[in-house]
Amino acid sequence: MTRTDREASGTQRAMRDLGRAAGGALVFSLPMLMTMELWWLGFYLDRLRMLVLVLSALPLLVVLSRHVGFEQTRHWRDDVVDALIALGISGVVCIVTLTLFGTISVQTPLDETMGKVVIQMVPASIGALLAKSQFGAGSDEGEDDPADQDESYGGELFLMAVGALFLGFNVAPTEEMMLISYQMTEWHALCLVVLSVGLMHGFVFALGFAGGSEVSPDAPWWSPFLRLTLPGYVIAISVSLYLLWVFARLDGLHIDSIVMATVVLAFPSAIGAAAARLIL
Amino acid sequence: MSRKDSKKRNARPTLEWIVGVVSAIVVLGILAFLSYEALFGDARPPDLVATIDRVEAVEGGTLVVVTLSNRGDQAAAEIAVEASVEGDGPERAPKEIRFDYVASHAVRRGAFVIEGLAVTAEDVRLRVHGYVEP
Repeated sequence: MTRTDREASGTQRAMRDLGRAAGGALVFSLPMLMTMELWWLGFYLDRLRMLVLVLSALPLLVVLSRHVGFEQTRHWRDDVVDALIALGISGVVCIVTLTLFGTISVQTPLDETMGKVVIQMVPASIGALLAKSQFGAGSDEGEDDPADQDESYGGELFLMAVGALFLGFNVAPTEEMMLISYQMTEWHALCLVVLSVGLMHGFVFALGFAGGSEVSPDAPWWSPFLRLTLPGYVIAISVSLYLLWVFARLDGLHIDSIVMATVVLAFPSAIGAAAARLIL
Repeated sequence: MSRKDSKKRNARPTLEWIVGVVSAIVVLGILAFLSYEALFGDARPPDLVATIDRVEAVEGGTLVVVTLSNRGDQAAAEIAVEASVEGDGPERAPKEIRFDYVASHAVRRGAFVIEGLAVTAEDVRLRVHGYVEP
């Protein structure tokens, strides 16, 4: 292969990776781009919370790039660059889509445009990074499907957090989330906790986390339940609490309402965490 | 895989058990809290109280910031709050704002804009008209 051929192939590969990332960003953020509560949050949400959201997303994207980036990376520096590229592509995807929807235009104040785009960029950039596992699995020789890779215990819990964040992000800003928690009694919430944990455990067994190495058929049922399911549910609860705080859903609420809202959001978050191996 | 290998793989690091036990305590804590609330918590209907938070002069009138508290144990929806200005001067039509939801023991804020003459907190009378169940 000549040098020109190699350069052409490199450019082609880079274009394909960027295209995949843009596709992934769109797939993951489209439900949110078409949710009006997220547009509203874009202009009224406290800028400090928005900053916390972006700052906490950065390390998450870097570590995620380590696991399932849209490039085969070897060094942390590459992962940081990947995370920044993912954020950049997501920014472009969000600006183009929101402009097409007429949600932002040249007349929209800069602060409002920034708010609307930034809040959408975070889930979109997770999608951009996951694009490889969504579209690219099996298409490249020598690239392993991340679902088949052996994960460390910390890696498993991290992927659960990303899964919880992904599904939680879809519903946390909606009015329906709070309305459900107001309609429920504590008895409903108790059943929802049991159902969330039960479904999570079902996924843990069905998917056999980390290609079966974490859940061995010799181990008693309570071993993966204690090591994976319960920590997974606590991760789902923590991610839900974080998202509710970021989206100002907990402001002015008493502790019992906070617990109820968190348990409601933890249901989709727990499914996201448990199914992380499927959806990521 | 040999039996020895399988045994080795089943030997979990202590950290995994510690994380598991701490998580179990957190989940049991949530279950205990919800059970206590379900068994012994009160179930009083929404008890809505509107109070004036502050009064500010703005361009073209006065901004009356109000706080709506729900001291009951159940959430309320579509709460209508009315503000009427009393005292000397021309009679003004009462104003109404609606709060979409107020959770139990929660607080929400809103504001009335009173055009024209400056008013003080003593001049404004607040009334909660009613609510519907969420």
